[in-house]
Amino acid sequence: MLAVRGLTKRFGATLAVDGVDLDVAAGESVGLVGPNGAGKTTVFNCVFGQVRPDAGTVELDGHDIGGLATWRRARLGIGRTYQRLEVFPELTVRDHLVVALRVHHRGARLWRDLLGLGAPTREELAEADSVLDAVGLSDRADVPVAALGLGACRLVELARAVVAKPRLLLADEPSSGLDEHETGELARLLRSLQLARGMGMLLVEHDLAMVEAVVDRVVVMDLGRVVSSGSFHEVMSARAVRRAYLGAP
Amino acid sequence: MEQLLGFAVPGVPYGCAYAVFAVGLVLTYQTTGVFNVGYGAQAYVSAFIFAWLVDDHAWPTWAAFVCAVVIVGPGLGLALDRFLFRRIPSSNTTAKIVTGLSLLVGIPALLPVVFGNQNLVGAPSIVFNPDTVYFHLGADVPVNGIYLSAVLLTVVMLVVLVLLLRTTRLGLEMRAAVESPRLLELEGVNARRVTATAWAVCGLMAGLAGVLLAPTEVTVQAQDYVTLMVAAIAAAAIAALRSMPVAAVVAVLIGVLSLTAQGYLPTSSFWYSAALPAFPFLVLVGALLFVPGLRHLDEATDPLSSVDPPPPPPVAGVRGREVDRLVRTVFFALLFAAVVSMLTWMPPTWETVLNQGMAYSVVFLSVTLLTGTAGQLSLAQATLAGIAAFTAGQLANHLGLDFLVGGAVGAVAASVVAGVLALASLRLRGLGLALMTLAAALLFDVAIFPAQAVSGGTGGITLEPRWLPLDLFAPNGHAYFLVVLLVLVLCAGGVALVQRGTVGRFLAAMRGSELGAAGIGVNLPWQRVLAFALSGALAGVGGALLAIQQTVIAPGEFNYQLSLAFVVIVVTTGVGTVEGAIQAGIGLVVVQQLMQYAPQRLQGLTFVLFALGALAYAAHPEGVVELEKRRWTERAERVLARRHRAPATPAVTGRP
Repeated sequence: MLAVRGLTKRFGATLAVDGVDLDVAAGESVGLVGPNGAGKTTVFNCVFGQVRPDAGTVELDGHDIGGLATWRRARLGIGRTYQRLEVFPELTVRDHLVVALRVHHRGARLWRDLLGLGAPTREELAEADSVLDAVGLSDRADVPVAALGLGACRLVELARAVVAKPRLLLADEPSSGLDEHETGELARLLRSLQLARGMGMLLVEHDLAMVEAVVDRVVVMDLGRVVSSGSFHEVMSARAVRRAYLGAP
Repeated sequence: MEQLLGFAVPGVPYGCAYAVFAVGLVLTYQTTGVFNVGYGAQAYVSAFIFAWLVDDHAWPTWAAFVCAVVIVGPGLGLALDRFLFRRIPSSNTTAKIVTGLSLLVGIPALLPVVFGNQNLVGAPSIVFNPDTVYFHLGADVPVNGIYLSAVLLTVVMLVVLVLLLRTTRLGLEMRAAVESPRLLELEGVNARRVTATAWAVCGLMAGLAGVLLAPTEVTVQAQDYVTLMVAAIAAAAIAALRSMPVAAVVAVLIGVLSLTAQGYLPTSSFWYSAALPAFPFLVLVGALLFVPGLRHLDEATDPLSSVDPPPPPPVAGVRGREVDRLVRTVFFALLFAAVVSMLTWMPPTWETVLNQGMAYSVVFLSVTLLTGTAGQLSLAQATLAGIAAFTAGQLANHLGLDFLVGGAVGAVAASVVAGVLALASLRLRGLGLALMTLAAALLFDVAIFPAQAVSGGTGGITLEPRWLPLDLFAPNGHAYFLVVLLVLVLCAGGVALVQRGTVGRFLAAMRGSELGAAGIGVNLPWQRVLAFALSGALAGVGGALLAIQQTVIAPGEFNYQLSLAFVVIVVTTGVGTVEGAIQAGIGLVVVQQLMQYAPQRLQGLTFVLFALGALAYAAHPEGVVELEKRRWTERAERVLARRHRAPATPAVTGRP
């Protein structure tokens, strides 16, 4: 489904990503791991259109999406969560999901708003509530997100990303700022959502226990290059990975 | 060559004046992270006090200098840090700009209240005698004390500040404090002390600039300092707010090129009357469009900024059902009483005042939609109002078109201009966008509105009764009241519906997080253009209504200073709600009218009051009036809960 070929990105004198190839099949969960500065987030940003690569291609279902803006890629079926929260503080939890649904289903019609027809429909509310139920936020659906804690905000981001049924979910360090228990819960939730919705997932994560619990396959990067890929246990025993993480020969 | 020098040399003091301010802007941004649009007002305070002490109290020049520059300048800087800017999170660009605007609007209005109206003439020069010609360039280009003072000041200031920032430990700490005060504290440095020192240094420089520039003008007036800021902003923008030497060189070039072109261009040409005054603003527009560094000014760089608490949730729409019913009942009762009063016993003076307030409310709704809903800051709303008013005036004058119909056409024109402005600024955010709109407003002020074909010249367009079928011009008549009330209800209702609808949700998402909104597929460029276009239309409708009420459409009625004041006023009452805009419009004219009964000295207090309200924006982005409403709502809910002997459910959840 997602095919990245020869992705290269340079920031000044720093070669952040150097000819990376990466694939995610439909319904497959892939972990992208590596030490700090490996280039994982830059790959992520290039896939999602927030950074323009210097070379290489990004294809979704065989179509080159390299020249599209971020919002167009999202409409093609790519969802994303962020390492640093990107929620809408003044909207309620439910409104986050309604906005995402509106984007994909009906779009904004000014005349409908001016006629008072802009309120969420019954179907939209039902769809939003089913996702909120799945992530455990039903009881806080009408609370403005500004009043929620970090863990709940991460769930809001996840619910917002999956409510429109994306084909590919990009999850950027979802455990950032969460404790061990919360991370475990989030890992279980991520995996169950990914399997239930049959979506592909690319997970950038430092918490290797979470990676092990969530992904089918792992790609390891170091200094902008892919140094290993395979099952979790295969890559963790690879010499190149040990060198990248531990500096061991 | 002699002629060229003769034209260019007089531009040097102007260029140096721009340079002093441009360097100050860059210094403030580099050391505090704030693009302080109130810098000109700071300089004006020191200049005012300096001239006041010398002129009115016969202080020796050196003593007045010490007081105005060494004491007041840094003192004001420290006060700004302690009471205002320290409270604003590093990533909240809008709050920083609004706070700077409040200073720019409030300080010049406050000084006459404190010191009385002063006509301070001829502030002394503290370096060279302005009347002495020290030498000649070439054969006959005299160089007097003003030129020498300007050049000396600029060079010395530049060298000292560059050395301070680049070679001293304090300079390094200041730059680090801008990046992340919290990380700096982890290194064992008192970041608050460093930031306070930076503000004191910036205040000292502002004071020095103000006092040294005072002798170049006949009288010490706030307007001169505000005008200087525009060219300075252009120079600072070219330098991407990073390089003080580049800012200084560009500023001097702007001054020299302006005066040189002024010398060569025929005074009757378009280039002389329109293009030349617009030169600094064109430079600013060019910088905003083509200097890449300006596009990334608002990217929060503090790695620890995520530990900032989120803003408080909005109070609107979360009050209990009983209180909501009570509020609605009281609102409609008051509305009914107001309409009946306007149609029966209201004195003509107050009817006129309230009509004007409603027209302002329509203009202010444009700020509500654009800033409160979409999170975009425009400093050109008065300009958009003026575009509609002049369009309607010219259509009536030349085609005999009904002024109300012309007003609608004008609103469309304002909407198109706003949309084009948004399209041109798609790559800009926050501060860059605000500056782009300011540049547009200034371009219209100096190059378009004064044109005979647009405004009929400086006297403006006088509206004629035959342009309106209704008896809208009749003094004390109610026709205008009914029209403006109808338009206000339609516009307020429209904005409220948009806020509650899909477009409003998309705009709220864009305001909350552009990255997050784009990430779910919201078409941000279109939403921004739409928000600007709708806002332009609202401002245009309000502008046409104001024009009818004022009966004369003059260029000065829609200048950029009014745009700045509009933002400050609406932010004070509540930028996020429709009620906030209406309260702002009515509040503005009522306070202004009440001030008519106050002593002469207090007449300027209106804008000071609103500026004080806007200063609270950082702590209470919902506006002080909205804040009070929330407190009263909470009290009412507690009382009702006690009466029902049930546990009180708080209306609003506080910070987590």
